[in-house]
Amino acid sequence: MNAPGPTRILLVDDDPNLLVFLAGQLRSDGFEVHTARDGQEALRRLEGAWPDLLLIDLLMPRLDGLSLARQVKARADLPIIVLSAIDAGDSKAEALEEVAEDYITKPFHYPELRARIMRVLRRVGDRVPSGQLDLGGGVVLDLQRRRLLVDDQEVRLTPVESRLLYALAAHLDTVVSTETLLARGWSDTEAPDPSYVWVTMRRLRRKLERDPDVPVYLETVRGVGYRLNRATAD
Amino acid sequence: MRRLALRSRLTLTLAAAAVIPVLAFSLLVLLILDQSVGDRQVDALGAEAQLAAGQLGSDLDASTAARVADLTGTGVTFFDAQGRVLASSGSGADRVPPPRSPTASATTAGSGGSTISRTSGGLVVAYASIGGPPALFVVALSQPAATGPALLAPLLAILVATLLLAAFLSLALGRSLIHPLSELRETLDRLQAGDLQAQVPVESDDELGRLAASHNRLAATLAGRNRSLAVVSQAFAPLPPQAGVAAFSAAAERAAGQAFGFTAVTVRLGQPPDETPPERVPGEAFDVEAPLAMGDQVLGAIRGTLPPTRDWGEADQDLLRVLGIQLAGAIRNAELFDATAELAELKNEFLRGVSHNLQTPLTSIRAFAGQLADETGDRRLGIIVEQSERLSRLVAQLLTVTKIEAGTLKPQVDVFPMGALVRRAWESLGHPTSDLALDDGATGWLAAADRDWVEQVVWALLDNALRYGGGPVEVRLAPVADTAGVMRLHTTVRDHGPGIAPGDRERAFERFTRLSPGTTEGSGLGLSVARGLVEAMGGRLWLADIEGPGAAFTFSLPAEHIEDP
Repeated sequence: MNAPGPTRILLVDDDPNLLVFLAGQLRSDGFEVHTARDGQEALRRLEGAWPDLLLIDLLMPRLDGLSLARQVKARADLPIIVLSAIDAGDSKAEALEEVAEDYITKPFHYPELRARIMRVLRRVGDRVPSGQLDLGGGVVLDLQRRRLLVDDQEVRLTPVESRLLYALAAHLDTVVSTETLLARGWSDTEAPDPSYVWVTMRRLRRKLERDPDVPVYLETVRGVGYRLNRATAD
Repeated sequence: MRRLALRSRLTLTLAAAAVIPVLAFSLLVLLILDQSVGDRQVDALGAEAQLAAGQLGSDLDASTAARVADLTGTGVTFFDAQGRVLASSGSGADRVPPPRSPTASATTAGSGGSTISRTSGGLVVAYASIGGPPALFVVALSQPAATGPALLAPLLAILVATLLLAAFLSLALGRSLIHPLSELRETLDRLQAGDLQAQVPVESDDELGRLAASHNRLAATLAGRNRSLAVVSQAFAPLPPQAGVAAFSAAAERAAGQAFGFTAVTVRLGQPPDETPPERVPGEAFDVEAPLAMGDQVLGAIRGTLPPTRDWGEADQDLLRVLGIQLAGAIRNAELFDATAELAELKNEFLRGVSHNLQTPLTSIRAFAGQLADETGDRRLGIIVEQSERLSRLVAQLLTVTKIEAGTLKPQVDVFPMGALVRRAWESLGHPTSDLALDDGATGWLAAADRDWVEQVVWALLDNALRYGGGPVEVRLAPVADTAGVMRLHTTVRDHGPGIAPGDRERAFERFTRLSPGTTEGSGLGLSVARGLVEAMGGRLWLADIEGPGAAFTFSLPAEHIEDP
């Protein structure tokens, strides 16, 4: 949200009813909404102006959501939320992990979609290296692919873990407050509570620390939050 | 044991070969010697007796006898014609039997008219007549029977020496014969045990040396064939089944080149091998071939060119045939795999389409009805929202079944409090939260699982409890240590309905099963899908044992304790 004015959303779905409904709801919540009926049309609209966020359906005629998301991501780091009837356990949804910021299964409650949009927009402005981030000591973050490399062994990250590490990596060597992490990791409809951050950090330490009880990378700053460190040379 | 036997047989043979001739020869010599000594004594004694008889007169008294005895070195006895003893030189001569006495053991005619006899006392006696014939007197010269020289001791010594020599030779021979044999046997044992590198040292150029050398060649051939077999059997091991026909053919060509030393290999598909193999011209490279056979079906052929120096036997041909069969199997598998993968993708594509086409209108229905309900407060619109949501869940369940079957479910794990999720699910069933009897014993704990899935599971259990069981519905949450001591979050949903008959306890989890007779409501998928989802998240779902009426389902999930850092 660097640009002044309302947040612009490009909504792509092949169901005109849903387009009408969602566009109306989003506009009444203060977003500037553009719509497209398929991937081709979405690409044409993108040539005119870049939105702040892309909401796309997975199954569409002409150019499906996955191909569209890939083409968009190849050009810019635009946050993408996928709307689909296919649930996240599907093989196709897995391919989306690399390009989509979040995933919401149809049918959905509008308040939940809005909460997800708000959460995704909170991270706009955070920048981490698009490639891999070497933390030293054999640990490498590969957030684009939602994974860690620990001594070249791949460790998968859950979406939430990946979001928290993204926020921490964007402020490497700086404390990030528990509230910020909570806002980045969870949307408001999930009844966010600091305990989610505490527990998720503990789970993350099990994945990337040599000794989770003596953390090197994920440091707790008491009463404030957490800090991601590089390993210091021994 | 066998080695000992062979060695002792050798020793015995050598001993016999040495001892028997020595023994026989010695005995013969002894006999001949004895015989000739006896003959010479008899001759000499007979002649002496003749000589004495010629010179003696009538003065046959003891002094004459002593004189004659002195002269001849024998015992001398005189007899009259009647065989009475007239005089003797004593010292045994008086025991000489009279001539023609029955006590003389053997009587022979001596030379020149003397008579020889041997007494039982070991004496040789020569009788000669004095005067006559008829004889007036008889003179008898007696001597102890002469014996051959004492050869027994040297003979025994020779025998012992021979035996020692035989023993020594058998040891030496045994060493040179049996040692290579036992080495060969040990090597064969190792060969049998699978050590194809076992080699016998070739120490000589004799039959044993040649045996060792040919064994070594046998072992080398076996090892070579073994290597070929290993190469052939591992030909496709590094390739996944979907590698494709070209990759399998290339792997087969590589393996054939390595295993058989082909200078060129080709795999032809769709064309069976030539019926008659080409004649081999010595000194020229030649081609061998095997079919890519699958039972009666021939998919093609594999053909290799051998250098002129390489042998090609039945065993090699068999191995090449095995490679052909393997390649045919791999190709068939690759084709089937492609077909299956294509089919699976088609099915997934179809299901995605079904899901999309059903869920998209439901999303609109739900959205607009929800919007209208908020605007107008009409309760009937609330029912549309609930029922469209219910329909969506049933469609989702149907699709989840196929994913559970395929094992492709991957949870998106997050941490969340179970109590809030149960309340939400209860609300989405159209019931106010105030109705819910929730005993939350899990404060201080978060479940670590897929939110959406757990919501589906809780929704299905609550829906079942309300629909088939009966109120009041109770939900109890509790952290419980499992058998390994790891804490799990247990969620129990209990109704107070008719309960589930003991025989139906496991059937309740089977797909398309409805336990209430005559019911057509529901998909019969709820519990089956719920169990599949819970298990994919590392938990379990089971029918709990309870006191009193109703049924209680419990599921466990990984749990995390909340600790303020």
